[in-house]
Amino acid sequence: MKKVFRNHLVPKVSVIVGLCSLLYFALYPRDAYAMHIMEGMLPPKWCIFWFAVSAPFFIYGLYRMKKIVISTTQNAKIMLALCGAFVFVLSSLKLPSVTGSCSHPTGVGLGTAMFGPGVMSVLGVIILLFQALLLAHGGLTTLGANCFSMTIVGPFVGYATYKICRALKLSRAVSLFMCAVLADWSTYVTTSFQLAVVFPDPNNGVGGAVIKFLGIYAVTQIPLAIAEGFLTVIVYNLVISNNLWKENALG
Amino acid sequence: MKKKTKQNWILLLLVLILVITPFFVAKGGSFSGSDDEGTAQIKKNDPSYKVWIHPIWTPPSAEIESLLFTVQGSLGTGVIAYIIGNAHGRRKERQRQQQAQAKNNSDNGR
Repeated sequence: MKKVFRNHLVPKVSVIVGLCSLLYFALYPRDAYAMHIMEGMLPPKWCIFWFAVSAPFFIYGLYRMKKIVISTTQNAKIMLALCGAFVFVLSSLKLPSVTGSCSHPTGVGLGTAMFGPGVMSVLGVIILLFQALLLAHGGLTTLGANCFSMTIVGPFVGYATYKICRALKLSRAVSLFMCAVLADWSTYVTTSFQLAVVFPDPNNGVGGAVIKFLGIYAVTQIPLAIAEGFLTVIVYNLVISNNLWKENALG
Repeated sequence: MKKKTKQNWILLLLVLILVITPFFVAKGGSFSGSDDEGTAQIKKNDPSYKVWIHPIWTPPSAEIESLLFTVQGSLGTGVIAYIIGNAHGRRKERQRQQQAQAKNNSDNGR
């Protein structure tokens, strides 16, 4: 597994990094912000819409979480705490990006690969609430929309990515890396769409607005998503090498 | 295990490179994460939009905000470090006991 990891990751990463740097140079330097949707930046009816969309996933997440807590799997609860803490740390790190602005990773990839996509919707809400209440970062009214992007779309995309990578016989570490990268990135792509639908471009409509918001959110996020992928694999390696979690439990 | 440790160091180095590169590439960037700029983009698309609600509590200053971000990060780090440190200690102890037992057995065999 370790050999496969090394052989695959190096050329893959260099290709990804190369492509990304092309993108940066096309778009830099552009001052931008890339955060969750701020308080009051969505009209009330959209807030209600996103709450309604996110609620079933949250309930499903609670159900999944209960199953994990009462399961007899060794260290299940400890690992749940670790995954939650990982999201806590990563979403507090505002990292600089090559576009000349800052953004933060989401950290949902680790928990997604370990426990499936449902659980992260509960853990993610805790973090989003913390940031909305104490840091005025994100918002209570936009919680539904932010949940949808970070704790629902991200994890589900990440989970699908993980399954596909494993089906393609990629190693667990590479699959986990791809899972974390795409979970992070798709979160910000979703945010771009969420904003573009509400605030279409005056000249180019929703499509034009999507491109603009993607320029702000998604491009900045590319290097950060890659960094998050590496960090996720680091923590995963520590977990495995200290016998906290069985390697084959990850599917 | 040794290989994994080495792998982790390489990965950590890559993360550092990713974080440091922006300062050399985007020299003109302000590295802001400002909400004002996001508001500006939205305002550009829809000048009539009014922010209809404001956060119920905003950190009184940038210092307090960074304090709270640090608290958030260090809480998470603490939990992760405890869990991994604890597991590491347990694994070491188990190894030690196994070695001691093996030694005992071979001593008794003599």
